[in-house]
Amino acid sequence: MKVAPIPLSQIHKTPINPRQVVDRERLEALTTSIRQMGVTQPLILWWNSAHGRYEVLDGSRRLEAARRAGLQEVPAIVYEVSEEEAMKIAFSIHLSQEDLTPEELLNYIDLMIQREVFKSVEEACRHFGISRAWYYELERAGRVREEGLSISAKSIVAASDLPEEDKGRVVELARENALSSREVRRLIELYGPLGPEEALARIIASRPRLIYSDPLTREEVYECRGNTGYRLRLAKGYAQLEAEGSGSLRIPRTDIAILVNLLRFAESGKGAKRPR
Amino acid sequence: MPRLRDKRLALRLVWRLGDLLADELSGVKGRDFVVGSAEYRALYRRLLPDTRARDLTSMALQYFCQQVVETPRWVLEVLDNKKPVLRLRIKQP
Repeated sequence: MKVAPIPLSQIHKTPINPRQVVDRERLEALTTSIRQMGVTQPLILWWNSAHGRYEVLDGSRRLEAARRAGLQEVPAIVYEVSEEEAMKIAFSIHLSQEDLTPEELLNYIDLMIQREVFKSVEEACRHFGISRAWYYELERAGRVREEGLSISAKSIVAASDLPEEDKGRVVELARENALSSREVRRLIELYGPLGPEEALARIIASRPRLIYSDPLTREEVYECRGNTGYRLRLAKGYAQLEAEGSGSLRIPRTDIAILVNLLRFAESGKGAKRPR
Repeated sequence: MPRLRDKRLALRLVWRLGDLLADELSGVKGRDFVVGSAEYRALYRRLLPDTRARDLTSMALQYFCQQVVETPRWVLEVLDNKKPVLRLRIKQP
C-alpha cells in the first residue's frame, strides 16, 4: 500500500462517513498541531469513480485542519473499491476510535443493512468480528430517540414481510412498550400466528424482572416467566441459574456470556446448539 | 444564550430535527425538500414552543454537525450552517 501526496483541492468529504458530529475543541487542537508538524498520519481516501473524485474515509478532521492550516497537499492512502467495500473499510477504521458515539456506530450498521452491504446485524457483527452482545449493549446505550424506538428496530420492521398496516401496528406497540430490537424481531415472528396482543403479552412475560437487589453485596436476582421459567442469581464471583423443573447451574460470572446464549436459544424455542 | 459542549447531545438534536422535518414533510408530495431559515424557525415555534430546542439545534448545526447526516429514514444536508439552510431527502416516509 503506497502513501502518496494528494492535493487538498481534489479531496472531498464523503457522505458515507460514520462520523456525523465533530468535536470542535479537538479540531482546534489538531489544527495547531498540523500548523507545527504537518500531517504526520496519512488520510485514508476512496476513489469514487461514479463522481470522479477522492473522498475521505478516515481523516475528515485532519482534512479540515489541514485546510485551516493552509496546506496544499496531504499524504494519503487511496482505495479504489466499490461503495460497499468503502463502507466496510470506513466502519472498520472508525470502530476502534473511542470518540465515535454508540449512536453513530449503530446508525452506520443500520445504513449498511439498508444499502444491502449486509443482510442482517448478525452478518455485520460476524464480518467485523464483534459480538452480538456488544451490538445489543451498544443499542441500549444508544437508544436516545424520543419515541423510544431505536433505528435498528425500525429497520427490522421496515425489512419484514408484514403488510404496511401491520408494520405500523408493530412500530406502535414497540414504542409503547419500549421493545428492544431483539424483542421487535420476536414480535414480528409471533405477529402472524398469535396476533398482536397475544404476541406482545408473551414477549412482555418473557422479560426478566429484577426481584431482589442487595446494594451492599451487589447481589441481584432476576425472574423470568416466559417459555422457559427461570431464576437467575448474580452474586459476587458467580451466577446461578435455577430453571423450573430442571435443577440449578452455578458458573463463574466470567462465563456469563455462555449462559446468556443458552437462555436465548431456550427462549427462541429452537433449543441449544449441539456442541462440536 | 445556552452553551453546548456535548457532541452526543448535538447528534441527538440534529437527529431530532431530521425526524421532525421528516414527520412534517412525509404527507407532502415529493421526497426532496429545501428548508430555509424561516421554515426552520416556524417548525420549532409550532412544535416546540417555549423551549430552547431551536437555539441548541442551531448551535449543533453550526459547531458540531457534518455537512451530510444520514439515517435509514432520511438524509439531511446542511447547505448553510449559520442561517441555517437544509436539504432533506426522505428515504422511508
